[in-house]
Amino acid sequence: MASSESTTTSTTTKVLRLKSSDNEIFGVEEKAALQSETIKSLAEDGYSEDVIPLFNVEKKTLAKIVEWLNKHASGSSKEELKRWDADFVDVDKDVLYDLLLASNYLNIEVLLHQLAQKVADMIKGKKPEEIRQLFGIKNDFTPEEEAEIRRENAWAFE
Amino acid sequence: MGCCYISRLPDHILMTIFCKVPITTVAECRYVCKSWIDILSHPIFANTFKQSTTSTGATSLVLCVKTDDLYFLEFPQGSESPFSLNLVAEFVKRPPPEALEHNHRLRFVNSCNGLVCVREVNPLRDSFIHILNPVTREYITLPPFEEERERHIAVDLCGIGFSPKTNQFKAIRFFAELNDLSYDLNCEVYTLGTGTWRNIGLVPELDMADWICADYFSFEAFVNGFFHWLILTRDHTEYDRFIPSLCTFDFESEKFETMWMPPPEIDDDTYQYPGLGVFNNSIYFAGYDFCHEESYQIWLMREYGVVESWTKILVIELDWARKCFPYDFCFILAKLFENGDLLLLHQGDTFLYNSRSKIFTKLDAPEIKSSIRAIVHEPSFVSLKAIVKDDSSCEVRKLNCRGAN
Repeated sequence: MASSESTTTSTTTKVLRLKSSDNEIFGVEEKAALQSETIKSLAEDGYSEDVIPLFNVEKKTLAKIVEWLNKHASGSSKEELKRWDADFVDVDKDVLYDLLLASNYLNIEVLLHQLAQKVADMIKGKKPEEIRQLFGIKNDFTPEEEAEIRRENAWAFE
Repeated sequence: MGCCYISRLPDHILMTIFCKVPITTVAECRYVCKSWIDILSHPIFANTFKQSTTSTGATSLVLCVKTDDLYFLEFPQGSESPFSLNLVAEFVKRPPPEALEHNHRLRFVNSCNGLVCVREVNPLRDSFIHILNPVTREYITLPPFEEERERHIAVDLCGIGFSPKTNQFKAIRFFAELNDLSYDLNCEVYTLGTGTWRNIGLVPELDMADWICADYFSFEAFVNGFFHWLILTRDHTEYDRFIPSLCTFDFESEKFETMWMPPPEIDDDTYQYPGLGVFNNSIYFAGYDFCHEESYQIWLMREYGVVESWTKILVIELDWARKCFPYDFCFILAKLFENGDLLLLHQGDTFLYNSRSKIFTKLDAPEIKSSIRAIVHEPSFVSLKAIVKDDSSCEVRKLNCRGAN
């Protein structure tokens, strides 16, 4: 997909081939791919001619990441990028989780912060019980601890 | 379905997320589950949080004077809205209505390492000094002056500071003592956790009248374990002018010093409404220059204690300020941001000043339409209980939150 696009746009642009954990190969222009510090150091270590193996990223997640890398190397205007990013992070919680892990592993600082901001906006203003419901977190406090917290934090439960 | 893995993210990613959540919600997050308590109580988080809030200039504390409500005003980076306002507490309890008529008021004195000193002035009762942590919503009330000191006159000056070497929070307050026909100014120190005020003696070489002026500016500049504030000294010449001096109190040695360290060009009464503050761990001076340039200026002492390092970092032309505020353009600087923007208070309203576009934007929030005060606050999760320990003279209490009802 991305590889056919990039080869047609310019013959001089170098394309890096990234391999997902489930063996799908994505071609990405070097300029776009190097936004990832992890890919950058792998490329510097001599992987640039071969396929770069990304053992921790599945193809469905890597496809999204590649989409982000291409968009952010495309020279879009600030406003357009902002709109595009808002749509990009507007995904299922589980997809967010995968993207967070992948952007952390690939060391793409900007994307990691965008995703973290998205989760932060979801948490914002919520009470503990609402946060547990949102993320399916189990309340693992014993009744005694819960009582202690209620006393400590009486205002939140009134 | 319905199950989500966000809570299973590695700790450092969770911390990145928590650093982007408003401080009032972070306080709530501690009660979600055990692993979140662990993450949020960890010193690494405290440190990360501190760095992220100082770099984004995230938090100011706002007190609505009329209602005594306390808010966090945050400027989240990368978020949709430029600011968010979150209720911390309806302060202690509602004062009796008759007290309101008698000008009952709460006022910020200062904020230091996560604790805030609030002074409660109530003509029907004694005045109180409260120390609070708005994040943990705890507060203590320090023991008031004892009744029998009839010859003493309480002075409005007080504040909270921190001694980094001994790791102690200390409050200070002042009282004047009638001595024949003049007054001597005494200072007392209260180390949090010890339970008593200690008299550290007379404040040297300072005229009582000068100090009363100092109250107007309050102690807002705490750097390197020192309080800094401006006092106005009469020069006793035929002009009888007031000249600002920089006064310091060292929380380590508990000694006063007067520094004559004027920014360049401040050699007389050039500056009106002068004030001090802290920016990136340096002292700044802000004031109106009506004599030379007709402008509002902010100077930064880039290197602590070095007179030559005073640098003019921001100027607002008064012609422009008059256009934006035709009736009264005198504003109070509440906060200086990393990017040069300002948070200004003007007649009970709050404005953001963009130093590049020079545009003043009013922060419109229904909660803050009444007259407010704002101070810079560095949020901290430090528990007052852990600080005062077994001190029985001041009970750690919880701030009320009306919003929860």
